[in-house]
Amino acid sequence: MKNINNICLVKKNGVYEPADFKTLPSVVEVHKNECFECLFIQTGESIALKVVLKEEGASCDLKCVYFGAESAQKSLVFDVTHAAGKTKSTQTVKGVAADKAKCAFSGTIHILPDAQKCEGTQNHRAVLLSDTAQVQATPELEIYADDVICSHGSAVGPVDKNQLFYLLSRGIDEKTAYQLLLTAFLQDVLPADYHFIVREWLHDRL
Amino acid sequence: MTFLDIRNLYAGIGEKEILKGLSLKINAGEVHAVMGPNGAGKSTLSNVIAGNPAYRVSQGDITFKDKDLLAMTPDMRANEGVFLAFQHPTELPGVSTALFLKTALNAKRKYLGEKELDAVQYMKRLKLRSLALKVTDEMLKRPVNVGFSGGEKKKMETFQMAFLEPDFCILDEMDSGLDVDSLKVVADGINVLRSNTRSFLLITHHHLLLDYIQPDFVHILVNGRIVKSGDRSLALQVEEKGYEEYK
Repeated sequence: MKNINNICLVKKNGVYEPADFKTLPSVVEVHKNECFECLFIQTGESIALKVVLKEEGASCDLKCVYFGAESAQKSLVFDVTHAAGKTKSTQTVKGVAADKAKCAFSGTIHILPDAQKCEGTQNHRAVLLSDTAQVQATPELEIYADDVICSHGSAVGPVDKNQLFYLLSRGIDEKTAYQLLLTAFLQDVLPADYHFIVREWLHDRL
Repeated sequence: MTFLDIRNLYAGIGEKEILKGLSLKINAGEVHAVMGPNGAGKSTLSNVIAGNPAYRVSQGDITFKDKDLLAMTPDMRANEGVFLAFQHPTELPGVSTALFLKTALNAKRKYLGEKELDAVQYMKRLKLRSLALKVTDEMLKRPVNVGFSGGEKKKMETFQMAFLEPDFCILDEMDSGLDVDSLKVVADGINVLRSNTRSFLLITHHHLLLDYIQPDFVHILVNGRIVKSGDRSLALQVEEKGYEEYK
């Protein structure tokens, strides 16, 4: 799994379909009552995505699962602007960092002065598989309207030692144990069709 | 045949020495109980045998069926036949109990050079064992131990033991947090597994469990060492007089 490309999926008619990230516009504009939903599986280079919710009722759901290993340095930037009222955005990011990888997530929610009754949420969680791996999360909320709901949260930590030992104590080898725990950790973001990536990514680790 | 042989074991967590020269020998088919007051080192003993990396062994050795147990990783120990029923079973959110059991069973079969069970054989084995221990289909669908009551967790530990068929079972405070009815279900589940090719180490701080699962030998563990060994009557003496005379 070295130098593998990122996977970009964009939802069409309720189903995620592979898309070429390079063909997305530099700023994704979402219009009245439309919803832009995309999911990145970031096994490769850095990603930056900018979304503007232009008109009332527009929404976006941005997700990413990132993997960093060896001496990789990568970043993920989600930048969402609520330019109209009654718009809604969610950012859900989960990551795994191993070896000496340095991963950074920067998530921005701008709410412009006239964009009342907006909702913006951002959630980031990451697991570190080594003492030398680093994850940095920078949430940025710029809110110029007063009637909005916004939240953000971030948590980064190692794999739970008790959970790992419980699996090992049942005869499950370390690599499979990590695979079970990481798949469980990522499964609310990573679709089942892509769980194999966890296995393949771990194959070169540990 | 000697299953477990612990010789002059010193072990602890970090700088703290908890076991201080413990020796214990368990043969095939035997049921041993280790009793002791809080802080005597009972849980340390079970964790060290199972290979919990949070514990450190500074002296002594442990063999299992003449193999060096301390040289093995925890998963190897399990596949050699050592099973620890945890005092506080860990919750694994997002890991389904069914997948967990299948992965564990196939890991052992692979280790022993046996073929993995197919779906039909696996379901058969699951059903057979779950009925006896009153483990419901609904429990098997849930993530491992998540949302289980104290009693359900202990039943699930016993069920895993029955399902994986280990040769040597350590039951760490199996009776803690169980009401009498649940204790009976768990004890029955354990008693049917008793055989002359399987041994048990029951770790407990009172005798109640031993009324349901009768041990062949009872050992008193105080301050990191076994200070007295005997038969079942020793457990009854402790019930009457406590551990004071051994401290």
